[in-house]
Amino acid sequence: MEKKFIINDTKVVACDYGHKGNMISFSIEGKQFTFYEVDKSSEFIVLKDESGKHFKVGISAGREKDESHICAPGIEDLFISSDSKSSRKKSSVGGGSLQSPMPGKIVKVMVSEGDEVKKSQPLLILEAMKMEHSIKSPRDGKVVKIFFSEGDQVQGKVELLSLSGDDTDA
Amino acid sequence: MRKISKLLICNRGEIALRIAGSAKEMGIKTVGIYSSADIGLPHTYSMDEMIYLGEGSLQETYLNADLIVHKAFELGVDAIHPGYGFLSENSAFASLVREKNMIFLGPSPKVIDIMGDKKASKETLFAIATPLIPGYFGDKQDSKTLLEEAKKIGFPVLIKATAGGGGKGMRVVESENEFVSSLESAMREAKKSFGIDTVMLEKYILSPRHIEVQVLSDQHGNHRHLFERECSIQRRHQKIVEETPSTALDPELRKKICDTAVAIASHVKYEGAGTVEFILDTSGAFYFLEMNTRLQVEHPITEMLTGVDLVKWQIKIGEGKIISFSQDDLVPRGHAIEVRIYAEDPDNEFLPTNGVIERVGTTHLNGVRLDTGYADGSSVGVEFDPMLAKLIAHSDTRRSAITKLLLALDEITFSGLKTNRDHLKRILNSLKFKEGETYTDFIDKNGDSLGVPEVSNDSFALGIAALQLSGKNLVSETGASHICRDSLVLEESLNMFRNV
Repeated sequence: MEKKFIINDTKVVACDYGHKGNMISFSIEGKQFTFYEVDKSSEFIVLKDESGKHFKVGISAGREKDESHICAPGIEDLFISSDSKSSRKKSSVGGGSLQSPMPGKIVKVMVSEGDEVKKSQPLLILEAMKMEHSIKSPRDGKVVKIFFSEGDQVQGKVELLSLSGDDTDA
Repeated sequence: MRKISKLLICNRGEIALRIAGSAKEMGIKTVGIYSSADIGLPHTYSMDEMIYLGEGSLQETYLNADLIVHKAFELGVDAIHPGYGFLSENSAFASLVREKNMIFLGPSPKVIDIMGDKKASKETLFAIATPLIPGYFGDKQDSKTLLEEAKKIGFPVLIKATAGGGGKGMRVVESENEFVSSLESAMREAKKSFGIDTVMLEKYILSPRHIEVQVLSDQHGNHRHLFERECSIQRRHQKIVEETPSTALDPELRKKICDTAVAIASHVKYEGAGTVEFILDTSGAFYFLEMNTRLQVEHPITEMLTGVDLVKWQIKIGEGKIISFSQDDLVPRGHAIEVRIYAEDPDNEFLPTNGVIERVGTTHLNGVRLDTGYADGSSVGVEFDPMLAKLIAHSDTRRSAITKLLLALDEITFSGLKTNRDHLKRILNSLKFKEGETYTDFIDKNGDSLGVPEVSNDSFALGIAALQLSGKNLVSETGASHICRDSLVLEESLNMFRNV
């Protein structure tokens, strides 16, 4: 049997999954892993692999429901959740997005509805955390609708404006 | 001479706690301030007395000079420590404090005004032949004049708000056709942040290093430097890694730059702790940037290098005491590095993140200092600067300080939300950093090697094993966290029994 996880936005499948008492074993992409629980507290768990190597791993709640945050020396942090439910859609945020990357205030709208815009052209400026963030067009296109005006407060991850045109390469 | 027996700490978070620590060590009663947004954070319950500033905007709370001074006076406060940010470089606030016959732990309002204004400070320092970056510091602020001046200086040009700080109101302009839109944006940001939209232009120096010198001056004309700090590694023009000594200075250049800082402090009749910032170019030439008339965020590395408690000296100087050590008494020991842990996502344009800190973590390494204003369970919102902590390691060599800081970063996890911790580790682990190839464009230039590395299946496996063997599924809901048994895991282990 197999179990699916989402770890740092990557789908990871643990095959040949077995969990009995203090032992767990599974394989990922053909590589076999076996770990034993050595010790456990509310904050961390100590594991041992087949070669006897020990790992002290911190576990806490993650950023959202059903997610855990794993911290262990020498590895990048892991945000892990079970992929049993419908996969969480990760909203794309950041410079190329037409969504507000975080809550803030629209300080300037640089285009009007109906304008033709070029890729990377600044469309509007959001002020958040006392910094200005310029929201740039992800592609060439035409501004169909601007949902906010200068001075408006906006929440995070909301659509700021809609663009027409082919968005397959956006 | 006037003894300080009660000190108001006019700040929040880690710096409020850090100042309170030194005051308590000196037997001084501490008074703190807080707004409704901070209820529950450690600085709201770690002082002898608290002033509640209510709810509302920053202007109504942490920046409400009238209210703070009024309350401080009522409580019989002798002196006010402004910390950094907020009212720390506000001369009107310093005047108000003095009018009420309380001591302001900082220089005179006049010196704050001169040095706080990037333009006025340069005009003043011109008199003592301080090296200045070519630029335009004039009064004419129309875009046509500024564009002409920018062309004279030659691109790339840096636009800076004269009242600026922390990268706000600052823009690098690569070419002429970007100039006007960048100018407008910088002015708007400056107006928002500082209330004044006056800007100046500077030649943008390629591959520069940020070198600053800590100075300490008493009321009796004694001026000392406590060596340099290199703070070249920045993102969004804000420092994230600071170290002392700088790898770029030999003893001769160190003496020259530190002496220049002392000459500036002396010229303006500085009082208290201050920092003179310079830009060092690849040829070894350095230029005066600005002077910060307050305690600096990264002051702990200087404290670890020299063994001098800067806050205690700010208090002693405020009381009128004479600096008891000579310049030659100060001997730097070893190497100290600080990293700033932020609630932000370095893999997504360093955008701030928020959430609940499940666990800060603890470290017991010798020579490691953690300055934080948060505790396990603290919420991190969007109201304030997203800095969570400063983690500082001191050791006998730079190499061992790096190793120690990496070990400490493994222990100080700030788990529960996305932070820049892994990014800081990538920086410290990078060959360029280890070799001391640190310039202010370090993050941009090394972006590829500082990006998210591919996570190995071994790491994935460890994560899955730890999660499943822990026998619990940690669920975080609406800011609170609950630990509950995961029925799925139990079911899986039952299935396993059947398979055996």
